Parts: sequence; C-alpha cells; structure tokens
Amino acid sequence: MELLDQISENLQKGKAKAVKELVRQAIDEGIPADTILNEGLISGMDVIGAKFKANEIFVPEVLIAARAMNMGAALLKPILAEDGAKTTGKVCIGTVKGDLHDIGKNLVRMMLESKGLEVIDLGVDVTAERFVETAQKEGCQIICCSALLTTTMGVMADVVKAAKDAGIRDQVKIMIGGAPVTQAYCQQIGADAYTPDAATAAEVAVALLKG
Amino acid sequence: MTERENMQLVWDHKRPGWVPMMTKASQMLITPEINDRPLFADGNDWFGVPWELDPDNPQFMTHVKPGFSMFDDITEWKDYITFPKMSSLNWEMIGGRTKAMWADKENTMGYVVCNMGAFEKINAIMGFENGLCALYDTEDYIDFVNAYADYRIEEMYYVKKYMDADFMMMHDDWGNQNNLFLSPDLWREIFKEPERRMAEACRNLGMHYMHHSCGYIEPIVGDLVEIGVESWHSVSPVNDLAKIKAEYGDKLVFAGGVDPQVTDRLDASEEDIRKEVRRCIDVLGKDGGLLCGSAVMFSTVQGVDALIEDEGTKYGKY
Repeated sequence: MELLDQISENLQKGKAKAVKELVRQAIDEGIPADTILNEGLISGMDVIGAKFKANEIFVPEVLIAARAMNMGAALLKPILAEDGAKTTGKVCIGTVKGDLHDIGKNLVRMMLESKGLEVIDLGVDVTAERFVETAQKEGCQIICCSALLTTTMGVMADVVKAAKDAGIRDQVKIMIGGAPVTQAYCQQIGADAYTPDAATAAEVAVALLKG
Repeated sequence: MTERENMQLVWDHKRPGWVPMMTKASQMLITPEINDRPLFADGNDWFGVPWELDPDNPQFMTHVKPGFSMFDDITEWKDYITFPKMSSLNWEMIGGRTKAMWADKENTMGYVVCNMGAFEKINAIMGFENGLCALYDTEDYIDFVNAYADYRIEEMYYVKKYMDADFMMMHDDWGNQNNLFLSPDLWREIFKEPERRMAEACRNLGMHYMHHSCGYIEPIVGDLVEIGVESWHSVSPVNDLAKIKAEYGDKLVFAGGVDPQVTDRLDASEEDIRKEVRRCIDVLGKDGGLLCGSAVMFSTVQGVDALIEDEGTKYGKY
C-alpha cells in the first residue's frame, strides 16, 4: 500500500513531522492501527535496524528514525489500546549498578520497541535486585542488562544470581551487552544471550520470546 | 639517551632505542583552571553544564548530571553559550606551578590534555541524543565546532608560552566499539577543517599535536594524517591496526594502544595484562612509531599501570 510505504520511507529518513501527518492520514482513511504500526512504522525500523547492523548507517540516523517512529506510534497508541491489542512481549532494560552510560541501552530500547515489544526502561545505575523485582512485578519475559565498563560488568552476574535466588530464572531470559561484554562472558555467568549491537539484540529478543 | 630524547625520535619517525612508555617518558601537566569538567567534586563547568561526582568510580571522575540538557536545538547555541576567555586565567601562576610539577623536564616530555573536544562538549551541553541529532543541523553545528577550535587554539598559545609543553593531547571520542558515531562523510564536513586548524596552530607554536579518540575510527585515520595530526592516542584493537600501521606507520605516531577491555578489569590476571602489552608492541611498535600505555591513559584497577609499564620496559627493546 502506497501510504504505508511512504510512512516507512519517511521514517527511514527521520522525517518525524511527515511520519506524523502520514499516520494521521492513514488513520483517517480507515487503515487499521495495527496495520499502520506493522507495515508502516515497524517495517521502516526493520530497514533501519538491518542497515545499522551492517554498519551502513550510524547512531544519529537510528535516533532520528526512532524519534519519527515514536511520533507516529503516539497517534496509534490510544487506538491500539481501545482495540485491546496485545504486545508481543515485555522486557525490562537498564544499565547496571555503577554505570551511567545510556546511549547503547537506549538504542536497544528503541530497537526492541520497533519490534512491537513493550519495554520498561529502568534507566542507569540499576541494581541486580531492581531488575529482578521489576521482572517479577511487571511480568517481563526478558531482562536486558547493559554495561560499558569492565569494572561494572560483574553486576550482570549478580542479575543472573538474583533471578535464581528469586526463583524466576526459568521464567525470564537474561540478555547482556555493552563494549567489554563477550559471548564467552555470557556463557561464564550463565546469561541467555549476548548480542554485539542493538539491532541484533532486538532480533534475538523476538527469537527468545518465540522460544 | 634520555627518555625524552628517545621519545623525540618517535615523534621524528626515527627508530628509538626502546619503546617509550607514556607513564615513564612523559609528564602530564595539569591545568584544573581550564574548567572542561570539574574533577573530584560536584560543580558546573565553564559552559554551565552541571557535573556530579560518582563516589563509586575508582578514578573519582565526574559525569554530567543525568537528564541535563541546556537546549535541544543547536541553531540556538549562540543564545546559550559564551566561550570563556583563556586570557582571564593567571597564567604566570600556572607556569610557576608547572615548573614545580615538571621537575624532571630534562628526562621527560610534558603534555597538556584538552579534556573535551567539540563533539564531547556539545553532547555534554545538549545531552547525547540531542547532540547526535544536532549533527543534521550541520551548518550550525559547524559554526559551534569552529568557535570551539578557536577557543582551544587560544589555549595552545598560553600553554606554549607559560608551560612550555612539548605536546597537546586533544580529546574527542568520535568512535564507539562498532563504528564511528557519525558517517565518515559527515565527520569530514563538520570536524575535519577545525581539526586541521588546531593541529596546524599547535605545530606552528612548536608543539606536537596528538588526538585522542577511543573506538573504531579507521575510516578517518587517513584524513587525520592528511590534515597534520601527528599522533593518534587510544588506538583500540577494534580497528585493523596491522593494516593502519602498514599504511600510515611512517607518518602517524601511535600512542596508548594497550586495550583496557583486556587489562583494566578486576578479573584480569597478571599474564593477561603482560600478554596484552606484548600484543600492542608487536602490532604497533615495529621499528618505532609507538608511545605505549593504556588506551585510556590511566587504569581504574590498582596496579595495572605499573604492570603495563614493567612489561613494556622489558619487552619493548629494539
């Protein structure tokens, strides 16, 4: 559908105002909200995610595309809520205790949202206990932990342990990422997945939710 | 031959007697009066950005108060930012203190660190995400970067006159673990010419010019060489360093090079650290061209820098 393609294309260029107007037009034309979301906004972000993963575009391009997506999605949110649409999964995300870096974590959040997942952003400097308490209270299927410092990445092991201690380890997947983090470290601490970039994180999250 | 003379050979692209270790052959000359960011305490920088001390950080580093953004539209930057005057500082006093601090001037090279470049500064002022989006208001962004370069060039004049430093290290982290933060073409459009002016001014004053950037910046290393940046500090192995050394090793001095993601961690063994120093020297130090040390200058984990210096001293013999 031409209008949905236009939404996707304008989103990829980060043209937030145009995306907002086109989404409004699509709603007025009676296109179902979930169709606009999936075939306009999310399909646009999928292209952005793939290009970012391939190093064809850079962080600012992802940011302006995500901002455009948010402006369009804000118009759809009340309609989707009225329709009783369910998200495909719930994730809590944060940068671990002692670490205040948030750009990577924010990129992952944007990419997760662009896949239609509900994301609870706990911000930075998040304790292991808070990750686990939030997952329990909100029913999150995935916990995503970010660390940019070699001195803070150890908190990720605390998150795995806290999930075990709380008895929810078999109900929640734990994903980790950040500059010093590796696949070997993921295996060492018993987390479920390490991803090297935001786009892959979103793909892996969706795959984990599908089981 | 002194450490200083040996280090000068590297700057001159001649074969040194041994690999100079940054912590041994050079002395950082601190200038806390240049308030790029308050250190060791909460406070505002010269531009009005609030910084907070993180007591858990082993280096007592400050960070921008979370959520702070002075403005979100870079086209308005002139309404908010007034550049401080370097001439307002008591340079006589700074020069006197430098003499006392740099007692071993005969044996070491002195350097001054410009703690934040224009990219880092605008991100501190606007918030990182706003700052990155501001890159697309390119003309206004360029205006800011040029004004910032003028401000740092003024600093260089005073640093040379009153501190007699041998080199300047300009910080601006353009790279992350996977890529540049912005496309190479956009970097060229915004940052290349102001960086060329700073490097030229520094060299014309009789100081060497070193640029520090962490992360992956491989696509613009050739540009840095072209515009007269004499040395690149950090030199993370996420870049193809063997290739870069082969291509630019006769024109560019590599500084740092020891990867903190290997060494600066609580679970790193002594052998892990020593092995990483040897890797750095093997890749970057062939026939000279390397000023060896931690890519982040100072490690957070106690004892790591001493091990790096010890291994580099033992292994870095030609």
